[in-house]
Amino acid sequence: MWVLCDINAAYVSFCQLFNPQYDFDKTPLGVLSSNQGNVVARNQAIKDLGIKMGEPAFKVKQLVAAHGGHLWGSNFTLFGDLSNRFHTELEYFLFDTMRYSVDECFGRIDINYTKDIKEYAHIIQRTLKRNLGIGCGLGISQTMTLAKLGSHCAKKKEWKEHTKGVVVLDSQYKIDWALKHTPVEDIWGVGSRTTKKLNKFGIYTGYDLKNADISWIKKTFTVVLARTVEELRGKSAVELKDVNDSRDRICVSQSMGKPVIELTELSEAVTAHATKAAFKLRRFKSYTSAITIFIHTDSFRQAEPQYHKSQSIKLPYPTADTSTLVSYASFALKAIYKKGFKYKKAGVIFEELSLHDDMQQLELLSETLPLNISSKTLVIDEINRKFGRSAIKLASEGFSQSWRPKDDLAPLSYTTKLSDLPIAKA
Amino acid sequence: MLSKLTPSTTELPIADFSVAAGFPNPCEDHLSDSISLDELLIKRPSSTFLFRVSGNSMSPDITDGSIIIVDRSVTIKTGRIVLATLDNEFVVKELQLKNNKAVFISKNPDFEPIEIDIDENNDWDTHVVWGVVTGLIKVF
Repeated sequence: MWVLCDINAAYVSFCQLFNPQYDFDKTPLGVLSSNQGNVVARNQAIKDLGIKMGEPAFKVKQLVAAHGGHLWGSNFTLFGDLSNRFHTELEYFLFDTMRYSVDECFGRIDINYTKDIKEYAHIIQRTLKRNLGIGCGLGISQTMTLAKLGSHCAKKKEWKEHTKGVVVLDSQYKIDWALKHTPVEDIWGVGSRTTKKLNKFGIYTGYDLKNADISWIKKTFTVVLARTVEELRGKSAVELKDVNDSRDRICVSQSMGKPVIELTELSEAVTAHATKAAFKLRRFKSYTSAITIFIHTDSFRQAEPQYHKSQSIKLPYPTADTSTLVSYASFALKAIYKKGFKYKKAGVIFEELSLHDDMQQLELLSETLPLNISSKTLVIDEINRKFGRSAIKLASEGFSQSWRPKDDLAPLSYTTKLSDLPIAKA
Repeated sequence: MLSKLTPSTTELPIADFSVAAGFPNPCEDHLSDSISLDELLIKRPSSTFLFRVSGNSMSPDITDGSIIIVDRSVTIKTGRIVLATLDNEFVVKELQLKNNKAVFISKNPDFEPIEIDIDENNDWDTHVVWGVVTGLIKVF
């Protein structure tokens, strides 16, 4: 049986664990994105205030404060460490575990050794609550897609009383019931574009999708969606590779901590973003053939002159080399930069990603090696892996990086930095 | 007569020290890992957290400025030193359980014990006791 375990309001739990003055069950609590721009994680109490995912911080700050709640910033060192502990704990209970995301883990249970699956799931739940102070939901079924469906049901507030956060879909009746009550867009692997198209053909629920004709799905949609259908019917067909490799763009952007006017500072930001994106690219063993740079002013300050502009460059050959990508990015930035505006945000997007083993169309007369990552880039990667990110970097990223937002709401690195250890009164 | 050979399935270990031609080093048979303080102090890394102590209510055992090791997976029992959340703060105390009361005792006699009622419904053990203190680090 496949298991999907995911943490309820992960970032909020991570922050609350070291801030006992806030009651996780009663006080409205949330976490903001790293530029303190939007709400990215919410507990039940803040949801009950009507605060939506992605809402701008400035719109909700007062409401939260009025109810004695709190909003934290993001600290990905802390979140990463606790996420790692979550995955490690689960490895004690499940086999074939896969770290699917920060707060989601797939794994398997052997039904020959585990008599009462539901009870076992509750033991996992209690252990994670005790050892890490996090609440989690578990979905369990024959395939990964059905396990994910189970965890989706486990999260539903209106069923919580009954499920207690654990849903085992171990009979056809239960599976069909869950599928009938789940809109097709909530099925794992079905995106928003696919949903629209499916709706046109009268497919609205997971149950409709399960009963669709597979060869028709293959013809009209994709092989990947056909696999999803097979999974809904209880036949394992999805490999995690399908899910992770399907990313077709990488975007790195950040709002500035202060309005940026000068090209040099903007350049630093773009270089830093391009470097980070290139690192991601290499981690996914991908290459990009198109790069887009965008910059814009603060659209919330309509009184000030506004400027939004982006520039795309089609690369002569796919690459994942930092210095090459940075020079294209700077070139694009110089083409669109205009003096006299207060820039709020800059970003880099890599598109048309291709995988290592994809076919490449090479230029007949070009002497450039398309898939070549310079040895300098590889050495930088290696050093940064050993000594921490940004141990060594391109000088054009700048040193003071005063454009970076100061995150004074972020929780400290309680678990990874000696100077940030939480205080115990004695 | 030639017949097909079956490959050996026995794996031979490769020596992990270099083979030199000189006098063999007698210590090589007795190599072991060096002492690891991590292993001594942290039994279960995924549920272990460090806290900095502030105050003298637990002195002379635990003094101001030292670091305590807290393992959340360890069973809460009477007599254990625990990290508790009292009055919205983390505190280090010794836990004594008696007659439906959890008593948090300071080692320093200048500080009064703090009592909390235990009843079936208030989840005192998960809500009040954050974790069990399993070690102390002090750097002079």
